[in-house]
Amino acid sequence: MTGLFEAIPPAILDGLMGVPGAAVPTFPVILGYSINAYHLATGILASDILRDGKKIAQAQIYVARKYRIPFVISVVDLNVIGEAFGARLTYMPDVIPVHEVPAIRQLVDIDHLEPKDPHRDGRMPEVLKVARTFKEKFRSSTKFCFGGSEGPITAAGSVWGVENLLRNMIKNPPLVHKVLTAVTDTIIDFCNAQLEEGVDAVGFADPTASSTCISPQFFHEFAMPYLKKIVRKVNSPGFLLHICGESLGITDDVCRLGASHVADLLQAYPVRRTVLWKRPVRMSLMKILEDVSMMPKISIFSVDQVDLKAAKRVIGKRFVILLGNVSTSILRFGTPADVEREARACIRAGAPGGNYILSSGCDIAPGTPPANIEALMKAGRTARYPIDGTK
Amino acid sequence: MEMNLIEKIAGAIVNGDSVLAVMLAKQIVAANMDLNDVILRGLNQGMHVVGELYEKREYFLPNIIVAADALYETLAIFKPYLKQAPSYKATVVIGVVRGDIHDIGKNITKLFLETAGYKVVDCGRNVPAEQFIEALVTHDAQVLALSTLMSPTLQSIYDVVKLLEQRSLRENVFVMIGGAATSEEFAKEIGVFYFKDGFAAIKLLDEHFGVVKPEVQGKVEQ
Repeated sequence: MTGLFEAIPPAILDGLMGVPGAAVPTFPVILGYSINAYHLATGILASDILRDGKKIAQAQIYVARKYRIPFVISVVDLNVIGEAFGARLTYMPDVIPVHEVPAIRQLVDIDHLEPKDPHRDGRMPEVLKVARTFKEKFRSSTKFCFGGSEGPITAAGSVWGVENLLRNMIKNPPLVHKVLTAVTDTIIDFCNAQLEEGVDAVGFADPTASSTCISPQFFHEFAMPYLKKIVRKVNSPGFLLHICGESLGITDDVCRLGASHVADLLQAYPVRRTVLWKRPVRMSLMKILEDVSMMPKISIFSVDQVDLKAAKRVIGKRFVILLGNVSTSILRFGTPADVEREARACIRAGAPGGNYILSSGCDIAPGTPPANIEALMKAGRTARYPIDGTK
Repeated sequence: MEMNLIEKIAGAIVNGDSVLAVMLAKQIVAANMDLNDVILRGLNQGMHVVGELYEKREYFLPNIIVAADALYETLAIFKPYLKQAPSYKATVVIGVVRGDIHDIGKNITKLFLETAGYKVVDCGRNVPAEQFIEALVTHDAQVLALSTLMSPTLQSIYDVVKLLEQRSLRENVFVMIGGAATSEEFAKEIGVFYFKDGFAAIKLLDEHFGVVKPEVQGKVEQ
């Protein structure tokens, strides 16, 4: 397994470390947007794109090239695990599919739940094809490929129906844990299979785990044990966790996920300045860490409706990269000047000291004007470290 | 004794205790109590407290779902004994816009609006713009409540508002939007009203229709 420090293009790593002169890395969240954009550009129906891994990859690469985004992601909707378990989706001509009927129709189904096979069930084999295509057509020393899936709570919601899942968090927690165990084991196998196909790291989107839906206590009880298991068992050098909605109250929990003392040590300013800011020294340090099997894992926390400054305060001295959170409605309905203003505000709040990726708060909405996406990318490219949070 | 039962059933709703709520509902029916009064001062008051707790972030969606379960199960007990048709403050057409199926927020809003005296026509989820227009016309509704959880489907909200304008219905309909992806600023941008949750939706509509908040603790005239 390569470490994330090797997988990440050097210029982006400089940005993450806040090396003076480096630009702020900018990765807008582009999942379903890519499908709609590629549909509009080629006329191919979204339903056909989604059933063919090669086309999904082409859609991602199309958007990445158009906006000079240095990364792509293999998963573009949040019902892949649910569908593999037997949830029924309705495929749309122009956008990602919608969830219609959960896989679990009656309670006895839960007793028979078994993890699914990433090489056989649902669209998972197509997602593996996406990962393979990325490796052939996109991956380079300056570009980065993400794999992933929906997070455990969202996947369980897709399998059982969100209302049933949330209801039983109060009424019958053991049943909820049964469903979560089956989906988590599937997520682990699915992500490892994607990593074998060549993605650099994996990410999870778990909107149903946000504090907009469940309390931070329930996040701790129902999401954390499974996220921990995933982080332990998936052979990824780093993890991205995207939570739409409110998430400040669970930030501390999220920080504990990929936690490693080595990573936290690297985070310390003197180490950063003397070792990580200098590429050759950085590389030799990483080599040593790899040799002694102490390669740090990196956690990226991608936030939506959160005050970045407050989130950074909660993260404190731990090595967790914050990603976010230009409003998707400003991106869709604002002007390029609005986007630039909002992006600058995010950079001021989130970037000082590094450990920050400029992004949209959530998946960019179909119909977002290209000029606005360009304005977001430009805001990151033109912002240079050191960033002053007060201006 | 009556007040005690009303308070108890309100408490059962707040705690989402369906078993207790149903047991109390049967006692209430057996005692031949005024069911409209029980609904107003017991069930609706219970949901009002649930709404307040949600607003204070002491309650989250799971709590609301189990409270709603208790409410619906209680209403099912009362239904055969309810005589007079209720009068409504206004008619609301509600639905999750095309491309999105996350309907928990919509269902909660519907529930809150119903308990607050609004007639709600539910179009369901993944609803095309055209279907909202049809429902508005068919039911002669004064309010359109649109919801989406996801940012990619904000476009669908915009599409419904545009279609309302094209059909010259925009002036006559009070449009409000909610759901995690929506925001005050987005609502302003497209010239509609924003509600944070079901509880806020009641406040917004009561304000719009100039409804005086009913004195839930006092005796209500039949």
